Amino acid sequence: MPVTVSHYMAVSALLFAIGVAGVLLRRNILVVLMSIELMLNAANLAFVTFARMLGGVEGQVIVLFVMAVAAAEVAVGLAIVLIVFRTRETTNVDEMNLMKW
Amino acid sequence: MTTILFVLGSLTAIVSAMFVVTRRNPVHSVLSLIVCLLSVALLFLLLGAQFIAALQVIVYAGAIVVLFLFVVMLLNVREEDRVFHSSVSQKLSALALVLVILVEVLLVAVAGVAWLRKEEWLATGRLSFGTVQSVGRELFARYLFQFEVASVLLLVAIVGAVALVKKKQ
Amino acid sequence: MLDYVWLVPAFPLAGVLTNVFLGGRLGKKFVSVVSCSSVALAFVMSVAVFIELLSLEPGLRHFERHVFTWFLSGNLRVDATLLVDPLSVLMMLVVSGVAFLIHVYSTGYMAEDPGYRRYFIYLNLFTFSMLTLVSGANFLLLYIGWEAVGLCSYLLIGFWYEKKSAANAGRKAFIVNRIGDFGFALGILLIFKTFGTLDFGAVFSQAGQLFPVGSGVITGITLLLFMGATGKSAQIPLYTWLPDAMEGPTPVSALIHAATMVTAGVYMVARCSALFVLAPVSMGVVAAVGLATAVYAASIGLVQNDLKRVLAYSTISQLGYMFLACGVGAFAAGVFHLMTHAFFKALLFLIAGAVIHALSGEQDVRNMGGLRKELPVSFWSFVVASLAIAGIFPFSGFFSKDEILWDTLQAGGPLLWAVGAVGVLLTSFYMFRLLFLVFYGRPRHGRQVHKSPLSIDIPLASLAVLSTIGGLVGAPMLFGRHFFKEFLGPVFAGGGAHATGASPSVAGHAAAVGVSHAVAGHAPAGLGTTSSVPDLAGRASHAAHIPVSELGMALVSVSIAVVGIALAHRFYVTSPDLPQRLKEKFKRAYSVVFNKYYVDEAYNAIFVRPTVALAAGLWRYLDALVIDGAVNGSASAVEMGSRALRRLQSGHLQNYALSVALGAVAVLLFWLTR
Repeated sequence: MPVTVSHYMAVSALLFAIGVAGVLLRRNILVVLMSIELMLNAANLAFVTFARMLGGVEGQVIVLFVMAVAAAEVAVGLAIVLIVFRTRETTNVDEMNLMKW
Repeated sequence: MTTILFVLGSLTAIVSAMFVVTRRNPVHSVLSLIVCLLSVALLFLLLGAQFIAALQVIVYAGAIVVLFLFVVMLLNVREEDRVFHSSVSQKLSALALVLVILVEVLLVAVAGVAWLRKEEWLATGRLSFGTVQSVGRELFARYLFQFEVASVLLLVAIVGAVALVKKKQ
Repeated sequence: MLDYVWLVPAFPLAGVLTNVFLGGRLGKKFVSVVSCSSVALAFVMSVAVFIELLSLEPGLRHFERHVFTWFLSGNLRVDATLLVDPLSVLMMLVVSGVAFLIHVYSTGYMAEDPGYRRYFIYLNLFTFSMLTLVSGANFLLLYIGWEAVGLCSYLLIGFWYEKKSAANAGRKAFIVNRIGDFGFALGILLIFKTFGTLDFGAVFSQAGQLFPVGSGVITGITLLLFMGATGKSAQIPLYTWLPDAMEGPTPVSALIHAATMVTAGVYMVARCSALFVLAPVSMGVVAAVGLATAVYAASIGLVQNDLKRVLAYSTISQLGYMFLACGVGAFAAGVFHLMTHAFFKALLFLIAGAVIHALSGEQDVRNMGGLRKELPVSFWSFVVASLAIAGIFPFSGFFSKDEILWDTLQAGGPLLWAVGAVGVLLTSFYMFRLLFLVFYGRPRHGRQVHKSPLSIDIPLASLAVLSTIGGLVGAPMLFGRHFFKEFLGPVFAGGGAHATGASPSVAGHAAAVGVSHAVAGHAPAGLGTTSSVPDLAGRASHAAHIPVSELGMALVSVSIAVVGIALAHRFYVTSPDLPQRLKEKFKRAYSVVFNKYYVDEAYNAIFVRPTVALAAGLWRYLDALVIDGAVNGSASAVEMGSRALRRLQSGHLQNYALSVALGAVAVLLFWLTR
């Protein structure tokens, strides 16, 4: 059976769902950030699939930008984790609740 | 042949993603993440997007994950005694949400719109699909502005990261 | 000059404003000069208006000065218009004249009071209000003046507001007045509904044309108006505030509760004579209430020991006579008595003030005595005033009271006259009782007597002169003409056909009947009044026409008064233990009368306490629980809501992420199902 768009989309969906689960359920802030990367990857996969399907190159251009954004986000995100770790000595998301009312 | 590779790649990706999310030791999570990213790169190759696949390996697996590893080592993150969130309500609602998302996206992807079920790939056979030149030509011609903006974004990220972490003297 | 009549109320108002804004800084002298001169100017202006009015033909003495249009609302147009006619000018003269004397008196009496400036501001304000009341050309202006004098009365009675009894008295006066005013307001509303206008001229001229005698509407209107009059002029049943009002400074009692404010009711009834003559039932009520009050109040005054209280009850009693006069149709006689009473009652109160001032605050007559030598001006003035009020010839009270009694006899028959005569007896008795107790005998006060200053003695003397000669304007037997009645005649000749009186000597209801002295056909032996214009529109009297001569009746009433004087002399000079013995013998009757027939206590139990209880109940339940509950409840509901919503902000990153994801899912669902 030939591999169709649907198959690639299914994979992308699964990866995305797993990423969401990780973001919402893990206590370690680093793992949360990694799950975000998973979600971004799933999106990238979908984009490339569509690019292939439609024959254009725009999909790949977008993937490039997504990667740039992901890199930037990881950099800043980890910087923040570092700062929080300096004061709180923890990577537990539950304890980073300064925004609580 | 492609089918087998596809199955292999996707299975690896999914399994390693599961590991990322469920491992107790963060280093294990990072390593699983590398595996996942590499599988996705394989999938990109299968789709004919060589440039993107290369980028995936270089940027994602090469830089971003290394960054993660640095921080994990720097913070000396230990194994956790409890992996998942403490609150039951949070766990339940998260799981529910995940299921819903999955169903939704699958519906869209698989059973939804007609044109998604096409067996044809328009770009099959076109050799110039995923080459550096074709991507580069588009990037620097039509999407030049966005390209520049992306570079500014990266600059901002760098400055921001440095400024954030800088110790006050 | 008539054009400037608006200056009459304006001068005292200017005095108020000047003293309010500048008086605080410029000292007592300034305050006194400003307030006294403003009233003096008002008096001068009134005199000027009076003189000019006299120069007009008697039938043409009616002038309206439109000052400004107050408001136009639908059908209702109310102008601030001042009316200049004999009645209003007379009232202006009396009010401004007596007020001026009392202002001067007050400069001496209140010299040491810290609230000096406040006192004169209130006093000027009162003068302004009273002048507005008497010069208004429509019911609304009258009502404004009416309410304003009530307010000033409250302010002045409770002038020493730190004293609980004074504050309570002020409040009582205001509230009791308001009850009457409620009826008054209803009457005015009914007038507007009936006539579509509030202007005196329009209402009075239409009334006769539109309504027959005895019409229910007019009866209702007049009864409501009279209800207001009972409140303001302290008749039964709304008189209870006046004795308590003696808590205020004595000049206040003199001005407000003797000469002016309390006479507003009489003025109002006289002014609305055109309406009253159309409602014989109301006239009967007025006369009955007046007569009853006259005797009732006199009886209470007999046994009171507080000097001012006796005078207060005396005022109530004399007001009753004025209403009696109006009730039998002798409006001019009622106003005549108003004028003479203003003179001698103000005088009496001012003397009381002088005595109290001289004895450093003593008000109980049992603790006075022997002041004849030391306060000569007061003594002789008191003699004059007592003779006047008792109705002894040739003092002013004789002429006015006698005329009232005569008219009562003609319109109401011998029974009513007899009751009135009893009042005369009581009046002279209690008055001379005071004279003997305060000025004769050995001093019982044991204090140093302070001589009265000139600022007190001069007004006393002036009023004494007025009390002596003031009655001569209404002395037909001496001059052949009744100047007063002639002057006022046109004002009261406005009624249409009026009642044929029912048999008068029955049931004590005086039928409103035109009493025309001319028709009563007195021989012009210098006795009969030959006024060409009678009190009412000159109809024949249908009452039992008692064929006695007026001179004869005058002699009878004077002798009754003399009997009263003699009795008082017996009780208090020759046999001083007589009162005590009688008191013991009729202990229960005495205590009932002494306690004012327990009316205050009855009112308290029947009206005051239930109302207060109702108010307390409403406050506790309706206000505190329901209204405050709603307000506070909505606040706490908001607070509870916000407390629930607050939990969204847990500070946990993943909660926020969950919300974001939820939102994304929802949007996705929306797009999928569209």
